[in-house]
Amino acid sequence: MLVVVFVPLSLLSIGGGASLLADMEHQLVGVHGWTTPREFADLFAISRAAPGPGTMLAALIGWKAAGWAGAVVATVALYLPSSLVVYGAARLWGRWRGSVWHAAVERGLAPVAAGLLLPGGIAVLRVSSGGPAIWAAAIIAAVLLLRWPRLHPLVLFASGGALFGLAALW
Amino acid sequence: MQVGQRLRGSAGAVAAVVGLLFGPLFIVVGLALAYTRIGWSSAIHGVLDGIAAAAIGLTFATGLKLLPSGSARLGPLAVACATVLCVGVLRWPMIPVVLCLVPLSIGLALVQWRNA
Repeated sequence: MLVVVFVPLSLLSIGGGASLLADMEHQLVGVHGWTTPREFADLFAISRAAPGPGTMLAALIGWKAAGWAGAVVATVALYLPSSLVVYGAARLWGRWRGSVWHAAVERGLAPVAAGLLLPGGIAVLRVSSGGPAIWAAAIIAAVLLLRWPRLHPLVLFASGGALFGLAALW
Repeated sequence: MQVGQRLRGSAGAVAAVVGLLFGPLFIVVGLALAYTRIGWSSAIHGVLDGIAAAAIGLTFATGLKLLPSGSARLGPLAVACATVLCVGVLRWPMIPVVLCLVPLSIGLALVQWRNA
Protein backbone atom coordinates (compact mmCIF):
# COMPACT_ATOMS: atom_id res chain seq x y z
CA MET A 1 0.00 0.00 0.00
CA LEU A 2 2.81 2.38 0.88
CA VAL A 3 4.26 1.84 -2.58
CA VAL A 4 0.93 2.50 -4.27
CA VAL A 5 0.60 5.85 -2.50
CA PHE A 6 4.15 7.11 -2.75
CA VAL A 7 5.32 6.04 -6.22
CA PRO A 8 2.88 8.26 -8.16
CA LEU A 9 3.62 11.16 -5.82
CA SER A 10 7.32 10.64 -6.39
CA LEU A 11 7.02 11.22 -10.10
CA LEU A 12 5.30 14.54 -9.48
CA SER A 13 7.58 15.95 -6.84
CA ILE A 14 8.50 18.98 -8.88
CA GLY A 15 9.87 21.81 -6.86
CA GLY A 16 10.90 19.58 -3.98
CA GLY A 17 8.92 17.45 -1.62
CA ALA A 18 6.89 20.26 -0.06
CA SER A 19 4.72 20.40 -3.19
CA LEU A 20 3.44 16.94 -2.24
CA LEU A 21 2.13 17.92 1.18
CA ALA A 22 -1.44 18.65 0.10
CA ASP A 23 -1.92 15.26 -1.46
CA MET A 24 0.04 13.41 1.21
CA GLU A 25 -2.13 14.89 3.94
CA HIS A 26 -5.28 14.00 2.05
CA GLN A 27 -4.27 10.40 1.36
CA LEU A 28 -2.49 9.52 4.58
CA VAL A 29 -4.82 11.14 7.08
CA GLY A 30 -8.07 11.18 5.14
CA VAL A 31 -8.10 8.10 2.94
CA HIS A 32 -5.87 5.58 4.68
CA GLY A 33 -5.92 6.81 8.26
CA TRP A 34 -2.27 5.91 8.83
CA THR A 35 -1.81 8.87 11.15
CA THR A 36 -4.12 11.17 13.06
CA PRO A 37 -4.15 14.82 11.95
CA ARG A 38 -2.29 15.76 15.13
CA GLU A 39 0.45 13.20 14.44
CA PHE A 40 0.75 14.30 10.83
CA ALA A 41 1.45 17.88 11.90
CA ASP A 42 3.93 16.78 14.56
CA LEU A 43 5.74 14.35 12.26
CA PHE A 44 5.92 17.12 9.66
CA ALA A 45 7.68 19.32 12.21
CA ILE A 46 10.10 16.52 13.19
CA SER A 47 10.93 15.76 9.58
CA ARG A 48 11.66 19.42 8.85
CA ALA A 49 13.74 20.03 11.95
CA ALA A 50 15.97 16.98 11.38
CA PRO A 51 18.79 17.05 8.83
CA GLY A 52 18.20 15.55 5.42
CA PRO A 53 15.70 16.02 2.61
CA GLY A 54 12.36 17.57 3.53
CA THR A 55 10.33 14.58 2.44
CA MET A 56 11.67 12.48 5.32
CA LEU A 57 8.03 12.86 6.35
CA ALA A 58 7.30 9.92 4.05
CA ALA A 59 9.73 7.75 6.00
CA LEU A 60 8.02 8.68 9.25
CA ILE A 61 4.57 7.85 7.92
CA GLY A 62 5.89 4.53 6.62
CA TRP A 63 7.42 3.86 10.01
CA LYS A 64 4.14 4.66 11.76
CA ALA A 65 2.27 2.33 9.42
CA ALA A 66 4.66 -0.61 9.28
CA GLY A 67 7.76 -0.13 11.42
CA TRP A 68 11.31 0.04 10.09
CA ALA A 69 10.46 -1.88 6.95
CA GLY A 70 7.72 0.67 6.26
CA ALA A 71 10.19 3.52 6.70
CA VAL A 72 12.57 2.01 4.15
CA VAL A 73 9.80 1.08 1.70
CA ALA A 74 8.21 4.54 1.82
CA THR A 75 11.59 6.26 1.38
CA VAL A 76 12.54 4.12 -1.59
CA ALA A 77 9.07 4.40 -3.14
CA LEU A 78 9.18 8.17 -2.88
CA TYR A 79 12.76 8.68 -3.99
CA LEU A 80 13.62 5.99 -6.51
CA PRO A 81 11.16 6.93 -9.29
CA SER A 82 11.82 10.65 -9.11
CA SER A 83 15.56 9.99 -8.78
CA LEU A 84 15.49 7.96 -11.98
CA VAL A 85 13.63 10.78 -13.71
CA VAL A 86 16.13 13.35 -12.46
CA TYR A 87 18.98 11.08 -13.54
CA GLY A 88 17.53 10.72 -17.03
CA ALA A 89 16.73 14.42 -17.18
CA ALA A 90 20.24 15.35 -16.08
CA ARG A 91 21.68 13.37 -19.00
CA LEU A 92 19.20 14.83 -21.49
CA TRP A 93 19.65 18.30 -20.03
CA GLY A 94 23.33 18.28 -20.92
CA ARG A 95 22.43 17.58 -24.53
CA TRP A 96 19.60 20.09 -24.63
CA ARG A 97 21.33 22.89 -22.79
CA GLY A 98 20.53 26.20 -24.39
CA SER A 99 17.72 24.81 -26.52
CA VAL A 100 14.24 26.32 -26.50
CA TRP A 101 12.83 23.15 -24.91
CA HIS A 102 15.19 23.37 -22.00
CA ALA A 103 14.06 26.86 -21.11
CA ALA A 104 10.39 26.14 -21.78
CA VAL A 105 10.29 23.08 -19.50
CA GLU A 106 11.99 24.99 -16.71
CA ARG A 107 9.75 27.99 -17.07
CA GLY A 108 6.68 25.80 -17.44
CA LEU A 109 7.30 23.77 -14.29
CA ALA A 110 7.94 26.72 -12.00
CA PRO A 111 4.40 28.17 -11.77
CA VAL A 112 2.85 24.73 -11.22
CA ALA A 113 5.35 24.01 -8.44
CA ALA A 114 4.60 27.42 -6.94
CA GLY A 115 0.89 26.66 -7.09
CA LEU A 116 1.38 23.36 -5.25
CA LEU A 117 3.38 24.81 -2.37
CA LEU A 118 0.66 27.10 -1.06
CA PRO A 119 -2.02 24.38 -0.66
CA GLY A 120 0.69 22.11 0.78
CA GLY A 121 1.40 24.57 3.57
CA ILE A 122 -2.26 25.20 4.17
CA ALA A 123 -2.98 21.46 4.39
CA VAL A 124 -0.52 21.14 7.27
CA LEU A 125 -1.82 24.28 8.97
CA ARG A 126 -5.32 22.89 8.77
CA VAL A 127 -4.48 19.61 10.54
CA SER A 128 -2.31 21.23 13.20
CA SER A 129 -4.05 22.08 16.43
CA GLY A 130 -2.19 25.33 16.97
CA GLY A 131 -5.12 27.57 16.07
CA PRO A 132 -4.78 31.13 14.77
CA ALA A 133 -1.36 31.59 16.40
CA ILE A 134 0.27 29.00 14.14
CA TRP A 135 -1.29 30.55 11.01
CA ALA A 136 0.03 33.95 12.07
CA ALA A 137 3.47 32.52 12.85
CA ALA A 138 3.67 30.83 9.45
CA ILE A 139 2.79 34.06 7.66
CA ILE A 140 5.31 36.04 9.71
CA ALA A 141 8.00 33.45 8.95
CA ALA A 142 7.22 33.69 5.22
CA VAL A 143 7.40 37.48 5.28
CA LEU A 144 10.70 37.41 7.17
CA LEU A 145 12.18 34.97 4.65
CA LEU A 146 11.02 37.03 1.68
CA ARG A 147 12.32 40.23 3.24
CA TRP A 148 15.68 38.73 4.31
CA PRO A 149 16.35 35.81 1.97
CA ARG A 150 19.68 35.02 3.64
CA LEU A 151 18.02 34.31 6.98
CA HIS A 152 18.81 30.69 7.84
CA PRO A 153 15.66 28.54 8.14
CA LEU A 154 17.08 26.78 11.20
CA VAL A 155 17.08 30.12 13.06
CA LEU A 156 13.37 30.41 12.33
CA PHE A 157 12.71 26.79 13.29
CA ALA A 158 14.50 27.26 16.61
CA SER A 159 12.80 30.53 17.51
CA GLY A 160 9.38 29.24 16.44
CA GLY A 161 9.85 26.11 18.52
CA ALA A 162 11.08 28.07 21.55
CA LEU A 163 8.25 30.58 21.32
CA PHE A 164 5.45 28.04 21.05
CA GLY A 165 7.08 25.73 23.60
CA LEU A 166 7.18 28.53 26.18
CA ALA A 167 3.62 29.57 25.32
CA ALA A 168 2.44 26.01 25.91
CA LEU A 169 4.10 25.91 29.33
CA TRP A 170 2.30 29.01 30.38
CA MET B 1 22.76 13.35 -6.99
CA GLN B 2 23.60 15.23 -10.15
CA VAL B 3 26.95 15.99 -8.55
CA GLY B 4 27.46 12.27 -7.83
CA GLN B 5 26.67 11.48 -11.44
CA ARG B 6 29.09 14.03 -12.75
CA LEU B 7 31.91 12.84 -10.52
CA ARG B 8 31.54 9.05 -10.72
CA GLY B 9 28.88 8.16 -13.28
CA SER B 10 25.97 5.88 -12.39
CA ALA B 11 27.63 4.39 -9.31
CA GLY B 12 28.25 7.88 -7.99
CA ALA B 13 24.62 8.83 -8.42
CA VAL B 14 23.46 5.69 -6.57
CA ALA B 15 25.94 6.26 -3.73
CA ALA B 16 24.86 9.88 -3.40
CA VAL B 17 21.20 8.89 -3.10
CA VAL B 18 21.80 6.07 -0.60
CA GLY B 19 24.08 8.22 1.54
CA LEU B 20 21.73 11.17 1.48
CA LEU B 21 18.66 9.12 2.33
CA PHE B 22 19.61 6.48 4.83
CA GLY B 23 21.68 8.58 7.20
CA PRO B 24 18.86 11.06 7.82
CA LEU B 25 16.38 8.16 7.82
CA PHE B 26 17.92 6.78 11.02
CA ILE B 27 18.04 10.18 12.69
CA VAL B 28 14.49 11.08 11.83
CA VAL B 29 12.99 7.74 12.87
CA GLY B 30 14.98 7.95 16.10
CA LEU B 31 13.45 11.35 16.80
CA ALA B 32 9.99 10.03 16.00
CA LEU B 33 10.58 7.13 18.38
CA ALA B 34 11.43 9.63 21.11
CA TYR B 35 8.31 11.58 20.17
CA THR B 36 6.00 8.58 20.64
CA ARG B 37 7.58 7.97 24.07
CA ILE B 38 7.40 11.51 25.42
CA GLY B 39 5.27 13.30 22.83
CA TRP B 40 2.22 13.79 24.97
CA SER B 41 3.54 16.67 27.02
CA SER B 42 2.04 19.99 25.99
CA ALA B 43 5.45 21.68 25.85
CA ILE B 44 6.69 19.23 23.20
CA HIS B 45 3.53 19.82 21.19
CA GLY B 46 4.13 23.55 21.46
CA VAL B 47 7.71 23.24 20.24
CA LEU B 48 6.59 21.09 17.31
CA ASP B 49 3.82 23.55 16.44
CA GLY B 50 6.37 26.36 16.37
CA ILE B 51 8.72 24.41 14.13
CA ALA B 52 5.83 23.46 11.85
CA ALA B 53 4.80 27.12 11.58
CA ALA B 54 8.32 28.17 10.60
CA ALA B 55 8.61 25.30 8.11
CA ILE B 56 5.28 26.21 6.53
CA GLY B 57 6.43 29.82 6.30
CA LEU B 58 9.48 28.55 4.44
CA THR B 59 7.20 26.59 2.10
CA PHE B 60 5.11 29.69 1.37
CA ALA B 61 8.21 31.81 0.76
CA THR B 62 9.63 29.19 -1.63
CA GLY B 63 6.38 29.12 -3.57
CA LEU B 64 6.23 32.88 -3.87
CA LYS B 65 9.84 33.04 -5.02
CA LEU B 66 9.10 30.55 -7.79
CA LEU B 67 6.52 32.88 -9.30
CA PRO B 68 7.85 34.48 -12.45
CA SER B 69 8.94 38.06 -12.45
CA GLY B 70 9.53 40.50 -15.26
CA SER B 71 7.54 40.75 -18.46
CA ALA B 72 5.07 38.19 -19.78
CA ARG B 73 4.14 36.88 -16.38
CA LEU B 74 0.38 36.95 -16.70
CA GLY B 75 0.23 33.43 -18.17
CA PRO B 76 2.44 31.75 -15.56
CA LEU B 77 0.55 33.58 -12.80
CA ALA B 78 -2.72 32.22 -14.18
CA VAL B 79 -1.25 28.70 -14.17
CA ALA B 80 -0.11 29.11 -10.56
CA CYS B 81 -3.56 30.37 -9.54
CA ALA B 82 -5.25 27.49 -11.38
CA THR B 83 -3.02 25.04 -9.50
CA VAL B 84 -3.88 26.61 -6.15
CA LEU B 85 -7.58 26.55 -7.06
CA CYS B 86 -7.66 22.90 -8.18
CA VAL B 87 -5.48 21.40 -5.45
CA GLY B 88 -6.07 23.77 -2.56
CA VAL B 89 -9.65 24.96 -2.91
CA LEU B 90 -11.43 22.27 -4.89
CA ARG B 91 -9.21 19.58 -3.32
CA TRP B 92 -8.91 17.67 -6.57
CA PRO B 93 -6.31 14.90 -6.59
CA MET B 94 -2.93 16.38 -7.36
CA ILE B 95 -1.74 13.89 -9.94
CA PRO B 96 -4.28 14.51 -12.74
CA VAL B 97 -4.15 18.25 -12.04
CA VAL B 98 -0.38 18.33 -12.49
CA LEU B 99 -0.55 16.11 -15.57
CA CYS B 100 -2.95 18.59 -17.18
CA LEU B 101 -1.34 21.83 -16.10
CA VAL B 102 2.34 21.03 -16.71
CA PRO B 103 2.01 20.42 -20.48
CA LEU B 104 -0.23 23.50 -20.69
CA SER B 105 2.33 25.57 -18.83
CA ILE B 106 5.25 24.33 -20.93
CA GLY B 107 3.25 25.02 -24.09
CA LEU B 108 2.56 28.52 -22.85
CA ALA B 109 6.26 29.11 -22.24
CA LEU B 110 7.02 27.88 -25.77
CA VAL B 111 4.44 30.23 -27.29
CA GLN B 112 5.78 33.16 -25.30
CA TRP B 113 9.27 32.26 -26.43
CA ARG B 114 8.26 32.30 -30.06
CA ASN B 115 6.47 35.64 -29.73
CA ALA B 116 9.31 37.28 -27.84
